[in-house]
Amino acid sequence: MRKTYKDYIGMLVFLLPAIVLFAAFFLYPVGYVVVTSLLKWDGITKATFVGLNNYKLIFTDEVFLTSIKNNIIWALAGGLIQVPLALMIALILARKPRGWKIFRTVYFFPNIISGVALAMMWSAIFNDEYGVLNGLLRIIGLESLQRNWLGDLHSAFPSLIIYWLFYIGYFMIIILAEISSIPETYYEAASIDGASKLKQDLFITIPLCKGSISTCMTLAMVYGLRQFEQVYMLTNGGPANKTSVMVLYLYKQIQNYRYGMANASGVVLIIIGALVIITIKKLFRVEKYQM
Amino acid sequence: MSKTQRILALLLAVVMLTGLAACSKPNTETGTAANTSEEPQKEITINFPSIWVGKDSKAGIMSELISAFNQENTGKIKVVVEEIGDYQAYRDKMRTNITTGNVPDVFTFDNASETQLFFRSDKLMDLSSYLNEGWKNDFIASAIKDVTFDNKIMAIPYEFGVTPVWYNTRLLEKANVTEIPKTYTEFFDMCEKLKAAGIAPTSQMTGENAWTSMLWYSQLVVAIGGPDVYKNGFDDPAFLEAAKIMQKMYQYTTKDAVGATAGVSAGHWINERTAIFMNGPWFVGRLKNEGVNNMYDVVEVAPAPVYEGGKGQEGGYIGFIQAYIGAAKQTDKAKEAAVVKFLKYITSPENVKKVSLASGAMFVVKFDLGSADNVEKLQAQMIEQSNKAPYIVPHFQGNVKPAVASEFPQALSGLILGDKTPEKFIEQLKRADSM
Amino acid sequence: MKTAKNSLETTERKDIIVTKPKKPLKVFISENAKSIFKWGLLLFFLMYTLVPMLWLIISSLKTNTELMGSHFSLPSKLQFGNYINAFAVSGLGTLFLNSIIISLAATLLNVLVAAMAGYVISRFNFKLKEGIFTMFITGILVPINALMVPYFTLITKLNLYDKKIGLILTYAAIGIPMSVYIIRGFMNTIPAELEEAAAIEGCSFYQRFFKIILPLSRTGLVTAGTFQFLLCWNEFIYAMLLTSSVKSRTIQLGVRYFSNQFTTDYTSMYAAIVISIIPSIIGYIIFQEQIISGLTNGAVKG
Repeated sequence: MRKTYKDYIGMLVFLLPAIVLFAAFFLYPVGYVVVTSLLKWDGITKATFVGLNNYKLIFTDEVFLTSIKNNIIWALAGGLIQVPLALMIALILARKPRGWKIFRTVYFFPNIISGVALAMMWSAIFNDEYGVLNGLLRIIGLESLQRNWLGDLHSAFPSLIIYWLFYIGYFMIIILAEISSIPETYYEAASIDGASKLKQDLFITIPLCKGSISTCMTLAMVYGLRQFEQVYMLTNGGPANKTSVMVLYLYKQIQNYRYGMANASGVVLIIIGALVIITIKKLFRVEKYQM
Repeated sequence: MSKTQRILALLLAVVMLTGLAACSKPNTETGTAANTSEEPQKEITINFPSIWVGKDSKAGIMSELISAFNQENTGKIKVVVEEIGDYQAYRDKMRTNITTGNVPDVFTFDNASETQLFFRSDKLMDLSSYLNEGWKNDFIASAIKDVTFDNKIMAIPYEFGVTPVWYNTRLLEKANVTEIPKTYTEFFDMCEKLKAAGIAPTSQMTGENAWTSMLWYSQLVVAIGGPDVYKNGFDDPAFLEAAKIMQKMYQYTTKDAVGATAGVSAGHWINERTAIFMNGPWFVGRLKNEGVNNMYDVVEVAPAPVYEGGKGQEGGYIGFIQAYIGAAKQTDKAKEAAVVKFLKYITSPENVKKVSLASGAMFVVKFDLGSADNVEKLQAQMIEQSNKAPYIVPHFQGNVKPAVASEFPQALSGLILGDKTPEKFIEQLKRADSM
Repeated sequence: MKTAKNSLETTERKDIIVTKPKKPLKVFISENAKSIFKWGLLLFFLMYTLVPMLWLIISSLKTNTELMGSHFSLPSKLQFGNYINAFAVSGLGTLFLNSIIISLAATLLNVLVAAMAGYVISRFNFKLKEGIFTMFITGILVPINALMVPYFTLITKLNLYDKKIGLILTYAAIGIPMSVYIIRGFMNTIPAELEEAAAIEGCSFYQRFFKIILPLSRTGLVTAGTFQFLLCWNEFIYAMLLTSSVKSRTIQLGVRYFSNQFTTDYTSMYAAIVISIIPSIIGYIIFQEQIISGLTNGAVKG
């Protein structure tokens, strides 16, 4: 279809608000972040230009490297474990088992509760003195596994991720919405051909909701890379910086009046994020309908 | 329908564009917001973001004092309090305000190293001339020295905190300990007895800013290295020695100490799951309200033990200014006078006494206590002990850069879990100091 | 769908008819493995997601000493006083109302702006298209915590400090990259023929957007809108940074009212959190029905 003169005006009018908001709240601030990442600046007294020195500092800081590693693990766990789990539950609920509406509603609840409450509860669950997790292990006779989950060099980070992975409600809803929009006729034809439910899921449902799966994967990985609140509330990066993540690192640098280093780590985060998003976009090239 | 929608969309675009236009002409309108008090008759507004709100022990009395001040000065001065209870949020906001040049008229801050930075910002009001008129005699002399920078006094020292050791004597008796330990040898003997009696001796924590453990470390560093230890930097062997004692200390605490937050470690103590705690006078209120089995009645406070062979002395105290009041530099003389008037008002001995009696907090403003004044029991003990103390040294966090303070919990948890040797622990602190 | 239901019914029947000789447990498990696995999974996730809610509500009815004493016990006496404390936060009503206004306005603005941009990016080809889209989605990863200084500067320069509109604009803008990303994804799946047919019938650019594309991408709009609403409702750092008085502050500041420099009144805070999530839950249930009705329109697509 050919675009008319009016279409061009429409496109401009439609793009403009988003671009204006984006320019004011992203381009300008990110410009600021990039510029200050080249300064040695405490935010209060005069700044001095130090070139790429802040990048050198953060990349020789073990804590920052740990943070990047943790973020990448978190992102991968989100994309490769959390989303498939969500997909599995969505496939089950799509067949409308008894009470599916209740499940669908309740699964979403944790997204509504503020992160503060969720973190408080989990820190109590993981606690070594009165925690429920150790209590459960005692009951089933696995005393040897008991530990101070969030205060242990080896278990702190896995605990932090694992409890998070099972909150699948948001992704499940997105995928379920798309599954429900698949026309019934596809399945009828498959049933006549004698395809099992599992085969129908694998060869009809999953390919047809590739769009929402890729959306969820992006979101899950973005969460993984942007993770802050849960870490801040549950471990504050400890013990021994083992659970540090990039945004926490950045935030601590700001609190330490090291804007240069803080913003250098911000730039690194943006670059890593862009790479991840572009990769996912490439992997899940969805067929496009265009005018 | 389509027409209205099109108009809506266009309207939105126009709104956005005007937004952009407003964005690109910065200095015309904004300047006026800061200088609204140019007309002489107008009531002067002083904005005061305050942490003494909500559930803070000083919230009630502060609000009374400020209302009284506003009433006295009706039509002339009005102090508008911005409530920010959450302390981290408060610090974030003050830091951002100062960085962007929007310093609030009156605000508070707590850290000695921050003080240095703020003073150098050139955005604070120089209070020297006012204080030198005799006002400064209301304060403890050493406190004024703390806020003097290049012979200028740039902030007002205000709330003071001391952090002795808090013993639950009922639990001590259960372990047949009748004497409060005088030395660390006695202290660890006591811990051993408590442990044998099935009581976790001390509350410790490495979560958040590792507050209680940081205070213990502060006690140890001074007990070993003496009151001047911070002058030598981290090369002073006291820091290393104290780290080794901290490792020992963590053998006598709860299993969840690594990673525990202030809520957890204080929670253990007020539920009688630990016998020994360390914190400041502000905790008295909570002890009274939340301590189980009328615990308040069996609690005693005492200076930390003496380290045999150390340079510290018996009765030495950890004490620090935990609230400085800063004021923004004003261009308008009338407003400056109003701010000073307000500052004088809240730091007057009479008003400080009211705040102290109502909240249990301590101050660097001197005031006389009459026999009729009902001073809280533990607070009175702390005042007495700090008056007798041969020296009072600020805590570790107040003596080091913010970056070192924020690395301390990480270094400590690494030390306790065996991830770092005591030597590596010191290296980690040094690295944070040097970056 | 049918088999799932049948297998459920058979399991139940076995439980009821006790006179029949019981099959050995092993056989029962192997015959119903799928169903047991399915229900085990569903119930596990149900517990996992429900427990935090229950814990929060139970904790909000305890005293602080009880909470610190044992985090998972029931209160000895229900402390409704915590709710009275929460309601006594100065201006709670105003904070609540502000949160509703700010979150709704920011969500509407955000979704509208993002849908408009998403429409252009999804449905048209033009020179800068890929560049603009990449620019938007790169914004998803910008660490918002790092932007305190520029946002504060921006908002004070625009004279929007301590005004609701300041927070509305900020929130709407913060969510743009995510919303554009989500909405464009959904719009991509709408067949071009529909729009082409409409264009031939003489529908203008705006009519095609409002009458065809917008209704058909309702799922995407709701997905993005839910996300955006929760962001607005739970955001704290900028709610504090960009306001100074009750007239423009949000409920999150009411929740933090109980946390101070040296003490936190956890149980009252939990009561405040419970109060603060009620509108979200109501809103969610409404949105959820929206999703369903949006989906039943799916037939139009086919």
